[in-house]
Amino acid sequence: MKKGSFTLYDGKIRFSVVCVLVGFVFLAVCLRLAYLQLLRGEELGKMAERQVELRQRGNTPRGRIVDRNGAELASSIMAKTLTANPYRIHEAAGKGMDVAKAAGLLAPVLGMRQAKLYEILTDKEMYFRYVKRSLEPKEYQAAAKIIAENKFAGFNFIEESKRYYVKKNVAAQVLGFVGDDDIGRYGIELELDSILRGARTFGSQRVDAEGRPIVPGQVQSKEEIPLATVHLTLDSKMQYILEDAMDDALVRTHAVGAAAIIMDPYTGEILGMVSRPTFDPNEYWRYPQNSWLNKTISMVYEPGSVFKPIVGCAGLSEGIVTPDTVFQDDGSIRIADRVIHNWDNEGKGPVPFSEVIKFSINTGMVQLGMQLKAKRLIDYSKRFGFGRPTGIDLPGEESGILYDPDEMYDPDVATMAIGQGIAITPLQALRAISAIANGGELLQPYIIKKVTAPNGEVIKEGKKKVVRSVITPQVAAQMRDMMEKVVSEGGGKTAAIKGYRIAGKTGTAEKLAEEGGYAAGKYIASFVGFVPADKPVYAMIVILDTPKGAFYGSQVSAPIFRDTLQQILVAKGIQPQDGSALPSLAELSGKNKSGPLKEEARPLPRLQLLPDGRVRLPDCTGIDLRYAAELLQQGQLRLKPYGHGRAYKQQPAAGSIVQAGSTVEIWFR
Amino acid sequence: MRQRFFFFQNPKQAVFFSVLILLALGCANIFSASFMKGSTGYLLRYVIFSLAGAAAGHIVRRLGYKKLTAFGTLGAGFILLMALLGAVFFWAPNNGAQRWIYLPGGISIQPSEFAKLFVIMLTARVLGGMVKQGKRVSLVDGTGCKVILLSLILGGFIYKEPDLGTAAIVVGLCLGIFLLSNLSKGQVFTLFGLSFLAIAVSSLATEYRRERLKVWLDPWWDAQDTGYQMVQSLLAIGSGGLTGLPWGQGTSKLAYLPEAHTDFAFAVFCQENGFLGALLLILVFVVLGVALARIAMRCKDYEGFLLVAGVDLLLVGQAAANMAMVCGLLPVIGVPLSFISYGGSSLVVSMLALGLALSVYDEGVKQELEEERQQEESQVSPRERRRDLRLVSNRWRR
Repeated sequence: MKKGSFTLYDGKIRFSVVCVLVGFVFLAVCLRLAYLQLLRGEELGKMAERQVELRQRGNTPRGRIVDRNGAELASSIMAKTLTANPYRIHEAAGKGMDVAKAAGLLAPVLGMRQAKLYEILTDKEMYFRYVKRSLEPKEYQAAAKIIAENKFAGFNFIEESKRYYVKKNVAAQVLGFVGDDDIGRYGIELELDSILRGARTFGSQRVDAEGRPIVPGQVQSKEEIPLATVHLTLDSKMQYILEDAMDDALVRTHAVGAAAIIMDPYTGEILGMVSRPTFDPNEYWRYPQNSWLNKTISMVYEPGSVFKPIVGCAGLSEGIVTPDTVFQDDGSIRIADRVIHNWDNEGKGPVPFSEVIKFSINTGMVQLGMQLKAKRLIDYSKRFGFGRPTGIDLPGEESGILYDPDEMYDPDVATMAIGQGIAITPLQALRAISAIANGGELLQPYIIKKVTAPNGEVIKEGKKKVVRSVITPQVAAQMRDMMEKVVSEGGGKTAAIKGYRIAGKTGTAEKLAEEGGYAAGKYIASFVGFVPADKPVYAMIVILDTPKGAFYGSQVSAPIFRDTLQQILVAKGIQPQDGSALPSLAELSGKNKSGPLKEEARPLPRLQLLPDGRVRLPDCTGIDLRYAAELLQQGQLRLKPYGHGRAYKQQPAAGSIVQAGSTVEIWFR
Repeated sequence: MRQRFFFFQNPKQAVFFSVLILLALGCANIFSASFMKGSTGYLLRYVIFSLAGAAAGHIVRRLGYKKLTAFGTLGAGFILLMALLGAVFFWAPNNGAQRWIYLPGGISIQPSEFAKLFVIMLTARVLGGMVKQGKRVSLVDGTGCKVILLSLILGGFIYKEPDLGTAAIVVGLCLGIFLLSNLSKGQVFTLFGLSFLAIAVSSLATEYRRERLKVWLDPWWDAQDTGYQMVQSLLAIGSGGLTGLPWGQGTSKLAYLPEAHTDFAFAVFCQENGFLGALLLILVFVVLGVALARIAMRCKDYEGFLLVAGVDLLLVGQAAANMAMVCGLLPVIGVPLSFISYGGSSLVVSMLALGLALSVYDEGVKQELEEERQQEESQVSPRERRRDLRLVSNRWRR
């Protein structure tokens, strides 16, 4: 290089300085990168990964509830829930996304009001809002299509467990229902919520900054936690009959409510439990809240004459009376300032105690009560389990009301002897009567037969539990005889079934008003009994709340008891004891046009996915359109439905093997 | 000029080599960064623009820098540039700025990029001419003032777009070339002082800039809002680690990092290629920078020297600034990473700049050859020279 030009040389010196400066910048960048990538790389990498990972709180389907024979009462499937990230939507709106259009397109598909949807989507302070939970498959497909086609940002589908009560309102109050977030409310769903609830799975999906999955549909590391199945002691067959009978009873008597329980008097297993008004737990929100209540354990009422066998047992146990002890019946009796009449105001003169029970003679019972006195009356009531919950494994049980014996005046004692001035629940009444039926053991009723893990292991098992022995077998036998006579000869003849030995007791009492006192002109008519009288298999109680017209237990509840029991006896094949012929099933079910026995419980049909991608079709008979759609979707089959109601015909036939994607025709009626 | 340059035969080869590597890395990065946007359109346009740029650069090289920096050409260029910079304001803003002229076919032109090169050419031409004439270059005399004024006019338009980063580069390149001329030491220090003052004032002038400054010092201060881009950039770089994530697995480009394929392409590059990949990229830029510096240093024409030095600053200095910005050493101003950032205008301008630098090299080589020939002629005896001629004529005879 020539040094001829001083200025050029000078400039080159300066340029060298600049180059060195730039070199330093590169060096600084290298050091900075070393710091960021080598020293803090792991930490920053984790942070970067964390923001990409959309933690998905997945749910596994809730555990099933089945009856004692394994017939399904409640099952869960996974359904899509549409969620929105209003903050992202707000950002996307800034880049030209038309939120109003999104609301306008999605609202009709989801069956929501457009204004409501728009309000959710524009709640821009929020990062998460539910749009609609547990979408029907059709809703999901339509919504997903709209979102994809219009490239709407900020929407996401998550999977949530959706509960199906396959038999609709059968045992609705026993089962209860599941609210949002898969949380059990009411009934078994509440009682065993922790066992039934689908364990939360933590799947994660990698999403971009707009919340869109990087690889659609890819959810990593989702652990499926298998769930327990709850087996109830309920017998679907009996439950059906009981449900149907109560529906029928409401129609016949115009009662505002009803409760009925069938129990095994020797074990305390609840075989059937019905409460009216009822609801469909699939759509519980459409029904008034009082229909969600299980009246059999929560309804508190005065038992009336149904209580007389209990008082009678107390008298027999205390040696105050024998079945032959004679009482003078004058039609009415005065205790202090109260006059207590017989139901018909007629006196039968001197009658033995067995007749007092048989004809439900109030005057006789009052005399017995006065001899027992307050303390023993309350004592025996307590021994028979009144005044405290039975301890059945259902939530929401009431304890009833008992007098404090020290505060009872004679008229209180007198009225309590005929079943007034004491408030009980239907289940308390049934179990007290069951103690008489089984020879004196007061049982703790139960409805959860067992809870099994998926591997068949029994997690929890309901067992017969004797609370205490309340009366001797002799006293029990004497009372059974008297109660049998109630049905065969006395006030409960309307409950008699030819060929069977039935013991029972009617009861009628004025209804307790909610604000205290009695509700004038409103009655609770009940009938409690067991069959066969000497060695009972079933104990049953039927209670009707405020029947219109006839209101006596013998007129209203006893015939319903009879009809129901007859169907059950026939259905369970329990032969008449006097050898007369069992009526045919058709004959009986013909009485009820809905034919409850036809709808016998059977497991829901399931698709069999074959390893080669083809699908074996099940017998779809009896399923409804909604379930059919879901069922076929599992096998990527298309449903072509005809009519509505329940499926009765299908094409291709059950058992045939079809390719995924093919169409299945199902006829409903 | 033609001396060996490291293991290259000459600096020209080093320039070609490093630029080819940069283009290849750029291709890969653009493809990966825009892959999730669901198209290969970005890659296609990158390739088209680099080919078009290479062709344009070649033409520039053939024409030679002397013709292109003739005052007539520069004047025409200035008028055209002003027209384009003005025209920008008739098109719709993108990201709140009006920087582009949209042409049919999805092509958009960013005139401010061309302004960078124009300022280098103009300043190098004027100052080079002054130095060659033996005049002292000054910031305050008429000619110097005019050059600075022109760069300020261009910068002003660009600032209005608004694009502070590019405006600062345009004015900065002009002043940088002033520094490399025979500016008196007093004025050099004055210039430094004034620049520092200007930067300080402008960065504290508005609330927005103050926040930017604050974010620069501590990006986590407001990681969701003002610091978001910086934090995302740091996450991207950090997550690359030593060797980078598997190719295509980088997540920052998935709409997390704003400008992932343009100004912050380096962050995506670091994420996918790791520390080692980033070192390689820096090394390639250093090779390019040193090779261009060698061309400048060996240049005997002051104008050529200033031109190549300016081009070096434009391509490599800007890259250094971009990298420093992306890894949080400098505040975020819109400086692209030459060849790697996606941007057609930037790519074409880079190619044109290379064409100019290489034409300076060609000129130098021509001069060297001329000198060598003269030297040989002066050393060799006339007889031998005649023998040579005979050899040639003998060959003709055969």
